[in-house]
Amino acid sequence: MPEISDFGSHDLEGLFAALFATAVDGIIVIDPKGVILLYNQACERLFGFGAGEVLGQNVKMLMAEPYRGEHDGYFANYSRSGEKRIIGIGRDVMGRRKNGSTFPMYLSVGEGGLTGQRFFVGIIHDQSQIRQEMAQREGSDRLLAQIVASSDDAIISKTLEGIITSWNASAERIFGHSAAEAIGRHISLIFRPNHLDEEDQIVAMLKAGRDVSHHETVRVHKDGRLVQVSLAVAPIHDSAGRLIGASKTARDITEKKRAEEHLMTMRNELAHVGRLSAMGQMSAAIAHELNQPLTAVANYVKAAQRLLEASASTSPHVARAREAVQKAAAQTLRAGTIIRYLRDFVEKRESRKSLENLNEVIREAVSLGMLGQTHTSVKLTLTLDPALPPAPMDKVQIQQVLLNLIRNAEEAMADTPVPQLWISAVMEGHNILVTVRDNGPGLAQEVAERLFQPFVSTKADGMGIGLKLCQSIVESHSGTIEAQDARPGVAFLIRLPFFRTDPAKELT
Amino acid sequence: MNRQDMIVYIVDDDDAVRDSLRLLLKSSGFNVQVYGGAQLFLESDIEKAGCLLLDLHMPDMSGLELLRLLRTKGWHKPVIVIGGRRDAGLDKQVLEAGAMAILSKPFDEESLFDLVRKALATENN
Repeated sequence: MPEISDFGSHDLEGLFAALFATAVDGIIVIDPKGVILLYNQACERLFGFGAGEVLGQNVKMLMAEPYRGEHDGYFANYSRSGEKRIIGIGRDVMGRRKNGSTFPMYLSVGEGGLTGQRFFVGIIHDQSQIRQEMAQREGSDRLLAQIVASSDDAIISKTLEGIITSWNASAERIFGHSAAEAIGRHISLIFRPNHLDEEDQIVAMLKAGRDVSHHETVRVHKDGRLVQVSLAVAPIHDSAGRLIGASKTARDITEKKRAEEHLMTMRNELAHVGRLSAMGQMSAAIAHELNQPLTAVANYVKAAQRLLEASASTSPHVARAREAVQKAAAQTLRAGTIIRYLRDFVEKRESRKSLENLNEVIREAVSLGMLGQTHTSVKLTLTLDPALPPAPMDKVQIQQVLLNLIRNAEEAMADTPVPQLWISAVMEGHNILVTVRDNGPGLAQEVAERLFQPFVSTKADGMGIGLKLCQSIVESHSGTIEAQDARPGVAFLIRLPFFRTDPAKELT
Repeated sequence: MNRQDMIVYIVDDDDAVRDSLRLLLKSSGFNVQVYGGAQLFLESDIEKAGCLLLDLHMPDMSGLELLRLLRTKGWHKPVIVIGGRRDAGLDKQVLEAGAMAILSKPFDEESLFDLVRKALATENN
């Protein structure tokens, strides 16, 4: 390898000239007064001045304020005290271009003396690119920090060992610990004491390369109360791709859980009331069904009694027949009394009618009906007349009817490609007409005719009680219910009387 | 007019109830004509003097609807409505629609005969 002493002075001159000309950084040589002696091509690109414009001028023309004004002072200071502020060190300063714009540059200055004359060499590295990148990075870091800070979810990062390294404002709110209290502590700070192994499981999942998301669990607030959270945990890797920690997002779902539990309670209650109501309605329906043949029996027996009484026969057989028929008449009376008691009992227990807005009743029934459905794709069209007057009804019972019809429709449409349900409520003369229509397979004629008879069902596991109960409920509201062929599908029409005159008097 | 010249029309969809009513009234000497539904009744000759025993709960057209229809058609013979259960709201509508009385099933025959006799007497005047 050649050494510098191998070069002749002529070669050396050429070497330095090449170095000076091709250097990417700007190189300026000044004398102790600040007069520019040398100025390379890179400087021309940086400052926009040609060499001819600056050679022999004071270097401060290339400086931006405050360096420009203070430059003479730097020299004076250095000459007087020998204190080096920049020489041999280098520092960030602002340069000034020919067009007056400024740019950040890193300036390193060396001092030299050649044949007794002192001079200074300045090397100028343009910092604008890197500054811009830094500013961008800072900007996005700041943006990220703002997002983290303003998130409604707790965002926590931690090392693989479980040591908390960041803790945002929502984490403070949700868990009660301030960032200062939490950072540096182990994540078990917010764990339930008997669930400390949860962290190991999460880390194991991360190590296996799996993300943890929507993991519902329970954490502990600083004040000891439990917080229901939905967790998402993502791995943090270093630049070499090694797993070094985890970032945890925790959403407080305590309220959501409470709402879900409330809804569940409501459904259970409705189901309970519904069962009681269904039992009552079933008793009423049975009483009604038995009443028909019983009435016929009573009539027949009394007719027979009359015919026998009118007979002039003195046969002992006729006398015994008279006695038997008389006893039969007494027994039908007794059966009638039992049924009447049963019916009175059911009706008294069930008469909980109040003035209700049918639209509201329908809306509630629909939300409950759609909630329980397994067939989530049913498209519902609700057409309610906002002008419907309040009508006297037992809300729970009417909702039972609607729920029953909605669930029947949903079941009927299980194999329908685009299942649709239309529910409407409109005024129709003396009645409010409620229609529940589906686009299922419809009803076979023989089923349609016997639809409201008890123990008729199109369902394999159906008891055939539902529609009978619906009818029984509707009739106890002085209304009617019927099924109509609405190809492709079925429409159930419920007519409930609407009392124009002082409906309050109808309440019993 | 003699009771024998007057007709007790019965409209009830339940075969047994209808037939037993017919037998009971006939055994007491009334003239009876029975119909299984509102439509059958409307299509028949119903202009003879008499009264109507009308079942309230029927499919297709309820007793209340038939009663309203008859009154709008100008048919004004006395009507006794026979219902399964009592309901204040429904009873009120039935009476407002022009029924003479409401009878609940099962009923004792004397109440029935009393009402029928009263109805026919109104018709006679």
